[in-house]
Amino acid sequence: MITNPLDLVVITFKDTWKRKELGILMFISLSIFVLFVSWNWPKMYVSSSIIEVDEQNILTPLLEGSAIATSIKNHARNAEQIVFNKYAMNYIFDILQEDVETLSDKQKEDYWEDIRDNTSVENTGSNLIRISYKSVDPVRAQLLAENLTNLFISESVNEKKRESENAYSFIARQAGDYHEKLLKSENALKEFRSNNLGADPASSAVVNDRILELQRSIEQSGLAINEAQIRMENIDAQLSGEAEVSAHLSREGQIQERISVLQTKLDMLRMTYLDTYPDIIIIKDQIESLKTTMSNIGKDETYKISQNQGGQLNPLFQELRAKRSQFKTELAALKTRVKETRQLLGDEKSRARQINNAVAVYAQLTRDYDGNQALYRKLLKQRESARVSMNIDIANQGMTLQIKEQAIVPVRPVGLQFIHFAIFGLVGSLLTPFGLSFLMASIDGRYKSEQALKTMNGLPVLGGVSAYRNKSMNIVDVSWLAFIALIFVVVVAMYGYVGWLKVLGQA
Amino acid sequence: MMNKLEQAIRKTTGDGSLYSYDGERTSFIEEIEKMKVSHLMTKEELNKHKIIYPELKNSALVNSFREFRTSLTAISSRNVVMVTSIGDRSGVSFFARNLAASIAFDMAKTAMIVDCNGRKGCVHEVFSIGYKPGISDFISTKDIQVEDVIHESGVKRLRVLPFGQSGNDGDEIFSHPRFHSLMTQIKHQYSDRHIIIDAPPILKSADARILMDVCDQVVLVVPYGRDSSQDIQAAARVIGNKKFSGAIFNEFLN
Repeated sequence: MITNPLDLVVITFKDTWKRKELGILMFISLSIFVLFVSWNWPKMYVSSSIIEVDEQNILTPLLEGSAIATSIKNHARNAEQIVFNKYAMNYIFDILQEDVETLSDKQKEDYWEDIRDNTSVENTGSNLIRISYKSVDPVRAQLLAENLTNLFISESVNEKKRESENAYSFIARQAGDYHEKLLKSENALKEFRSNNLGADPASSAVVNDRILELQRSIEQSGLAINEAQIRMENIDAQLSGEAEVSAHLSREGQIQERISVLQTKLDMLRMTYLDTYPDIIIIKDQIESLKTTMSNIGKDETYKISQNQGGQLNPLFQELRAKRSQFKTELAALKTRVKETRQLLGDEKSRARQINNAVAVYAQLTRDYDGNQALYRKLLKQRESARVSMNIDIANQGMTLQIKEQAIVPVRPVGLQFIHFAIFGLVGSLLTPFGLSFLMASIDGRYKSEQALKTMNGLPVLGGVSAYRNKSMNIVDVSWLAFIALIFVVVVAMYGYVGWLKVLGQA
Repeated sequence: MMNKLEQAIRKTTGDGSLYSYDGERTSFIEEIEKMKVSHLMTKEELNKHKIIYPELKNSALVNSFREFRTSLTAISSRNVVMVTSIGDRSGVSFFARNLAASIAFDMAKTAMIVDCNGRKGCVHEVFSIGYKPGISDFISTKDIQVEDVIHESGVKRLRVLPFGQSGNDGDEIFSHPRFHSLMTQIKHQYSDRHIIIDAPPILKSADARILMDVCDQVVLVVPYGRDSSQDIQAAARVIGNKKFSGAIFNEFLN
């Protein structure tokens, strides 16, 4: 039971003194054990080389943008992969042939595992790699460190070459693929164009204009037909009010006159139109029918009688009839024209539809072609960059690996030295009994001071009695102290002797 | 004559409080001075047996015993003090003999150590009594008188009652009527006598509990790093509030 920290310190010392025999035993055994360990502690030698990785060489700024420098980001990890692979194993086994040749495969594996364990690869700066080898034999440490370094350098350079070559061939292959695609789309476009002549956005506008024109023409013709029909109705009304025959106009003469009028009109039309023109055909028909009528007159009795009676045809009636016939002809001509125009309009419309389809297909083909062309151009550029990068690596200009510090045969061993053991052994074994006493005092529930006893509830405490020291006790205590000092001196002397032997051994 | 006596008192007690003594006290002193002292221990012997004396260099130790003496002898009617402990080797005998020695510093008081530790007791060795009769002999042999079992200690005004040679620890000696008559006689032999019983551990031995019947006060010695609070509380319960004067922390490491 401890009430304050100072008590704990005092009690620690008291308890240690109380158990001094155990403490002395502990000190002797611990210090001798540490001494024994230090005597048998193997001396380890480490040989290491430092490699500087320079990626920012003179070419980088010169080729900025056109060549991509291949970089090795985590140098140490990369180096580890290189120096620990199968190739490295064979390389190192070739060097250590004498050691390896008698080993079985399993032993070889263990041997390599051992080499790997003793090898350390680390980044010591942003672009510095340290490759070290640890061994009990300084010469072997140097040999392995040096060879692993050489291996790393040669393999790094090769790997970079391989990497850029792979990049180049990949991009080149891609460029080839796109070249083929581009050719294909070019051909498709050419073929479509030749199959759909005039099927372009410009001709679409022409067709639209034509459709509008035809529609306008149909509308105009419709108006003209209406007009002609109204005129016909008017003449028909007039005709019903007029007498067909008037005095002294022989029927023959009338027909003759009419034929001549028609002939004149026919001649006029022929000057402008071909014989197939509908008006000409109609006029010809009329002339023919009049001539037939003429030839029939002589044979017709009825007519003879009427002629003989001296009756003549009404001239107004005649004129109206002529006009009616003219309008009829015009009406027929107009209707024919409307029919033909409608047909033309139908044709133009289907043509417009065709053109629209063709334009859509054309647009798609053009798009494919443009896309392929752009990608192909980009790939060509990249291929050239890759080619330059590859050439840089082939010429060993991409990344320089330079040995900054050559692996040398180490003179001083690393790790725990005798002095560390000596300090640890002496101080540690001296402090251990105190430490144990301290620990035990901290957890001990028993009373070790008057003050602590006074804290107990309801317990009257009269006071404390200190030790009664007499001469014999003092003699015993002094003897103990002398004995402890003697033991300490002996142990220190032992350490000194062993240290001296170690120094002699090193020299 | 008186001058010489005064000087002698001053020399042995060292507390020089002679002139405050009243007439009654002077008569005690005269009576006590008649106590037979055939041999006095030298300082070397006292040192060897770890018995305090006023000139001891370790005055702190002497003063602490003086304080215990003062508080334990404040009431003259409670003059039988039993010193006990929880475990063996707790320094009970050391405390008991030095408490007795400190009481004996006072010329008007006498002290007696009663060794109730059975055969394990060391009182006869400390005070070089040898194989002389003690409590057990007094109880087993009716011929032996009280005077035969009380021995000189080699310290002025301090007498010793050893355990004796016959009988065993388990013989119910302390519950024997003769033990009670022995205690009554020695209590009244001198008017200001203090009896210190060097008792066995209270939790281990029934004897200590039996002895509580004959004592007026109980002091519990708690040695360095030996007893837990449960044990101390158990001991305090056994002793009871009425007779329990208090605990003494013994720093001596052994």
